[in-house]
Amino acid sequence: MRALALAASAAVLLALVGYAAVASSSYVDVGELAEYRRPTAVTVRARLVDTEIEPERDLLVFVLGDDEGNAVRAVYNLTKFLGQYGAPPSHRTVDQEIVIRGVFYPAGEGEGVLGEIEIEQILQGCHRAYDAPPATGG
Amino acid sequence: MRARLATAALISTLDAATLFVSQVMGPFPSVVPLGDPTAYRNLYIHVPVSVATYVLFTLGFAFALAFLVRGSESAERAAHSFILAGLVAGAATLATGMVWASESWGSPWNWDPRETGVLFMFLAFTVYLAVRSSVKDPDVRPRVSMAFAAAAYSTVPLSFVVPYAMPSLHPVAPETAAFVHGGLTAILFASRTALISAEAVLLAASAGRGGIPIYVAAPVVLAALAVAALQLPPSLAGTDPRAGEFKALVVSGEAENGTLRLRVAAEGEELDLEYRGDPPIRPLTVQVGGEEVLTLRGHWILVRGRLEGGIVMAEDLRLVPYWGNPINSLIYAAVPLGLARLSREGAA
Repeated sequence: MRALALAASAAVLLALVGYAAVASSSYVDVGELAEYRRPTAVTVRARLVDTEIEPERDLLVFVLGDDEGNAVRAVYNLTKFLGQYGAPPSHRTVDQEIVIRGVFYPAGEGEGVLGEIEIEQILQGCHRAYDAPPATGG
Repeated sequence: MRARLATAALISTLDAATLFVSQVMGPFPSVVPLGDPTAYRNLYIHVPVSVATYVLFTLGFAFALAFLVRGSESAERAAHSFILAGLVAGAATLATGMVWASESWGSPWNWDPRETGVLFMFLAFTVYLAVRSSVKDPDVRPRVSMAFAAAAYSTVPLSFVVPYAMPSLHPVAPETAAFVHGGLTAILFASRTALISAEAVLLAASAGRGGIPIYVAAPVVLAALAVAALQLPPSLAGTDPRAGEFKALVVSGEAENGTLRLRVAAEGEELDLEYRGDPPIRPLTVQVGGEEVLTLRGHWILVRGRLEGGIVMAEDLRLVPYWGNPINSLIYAAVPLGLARLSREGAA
């Protein structure tokens, strides 16, 4: 009986530690970026509001937002994006919701956005792939 | 013993056959958000081996509880065998997932909540091994280690439900099911999921009862080697378009009146390519979001042809499967091999 009680106690402890580990590895929302006052490495999950291309700076700009009206600019090297995806952002390459990893630079007061994220990686879920019909070959 | 050996040999042969078929001709999503679509053939390796991991840890938990309630020595041995087997399958789950994620998610490790959950589960059961070997008193060791094993199981449902409870790059079961609901895809996915779990359970359950000879895993190892022999050489092909044969990435293109006109990237530059002949992929186009999409986009192809006036006139085109698939086939083959060995030692 003592061993069962020990197991149950340890199970609760492990579950709590596990939950904390899992929750801490989840993604921050755009609104949470307002709390950052200095450049910080972040992994952000956000709604894609708009995309812009700045060819003169070889940049692809994602405008990311949330339901509270917060917005952040996220920039990625255009040449790198085209090399990876073969085309500018479209419904085939980028979801309406995306996850990005990079460094967040907070903006000053009154700039309209919370800041800018220099994207290191665009992380893609595979959910949408399973909507596509199967193909064979190779 | 003879019946168990025959069953294990039969399952191993079927496992090998489905591994080979799934990696050489298994269907994959025709349009994917990122990377090479053939990387999704890992659906037939990574997902079944992860299901087997959950099954093995669940059986280990059940026997650990049985020991804690009834004190049966055989239950303790069985729990230990299933947990060891679960660790072997769990290591393969993590490794095959990383190889797949490096292509389809953009990075091998993303601290995705499900990834973190599975890693935590793996570490919890690894700590069980440390606990078991650190308690020297043979009267105390079974109780303490089984209590910890039962506790470690709390990480299993946690890791499983994570994609349902919080945003995750991992799909949830209904999303995967939407793709594997029919045809060869469903047959391969369902049979591999059932076979891998059955094989792992049989091998783990054979420990302490004579075990299963290692040669039973030979068909799977041979199948993995055959996949590697077929698929790794094209992956290693050069990308110089001036060579008679080269590897290129399909950036865009269209199919018209039996002619494929592709924009391909090779050796750091983009080239036009024309090809009349049997397409290397079927279907060649699909409708996505009301738009006709060429399914070759995102694929690496092996081109045999000549460069004429800046256009590659291709005589033959072949898909080059994602290099990680044969690697994952080999990683997977280590699972039945490792479990057979552990069963022989009586430790699994």
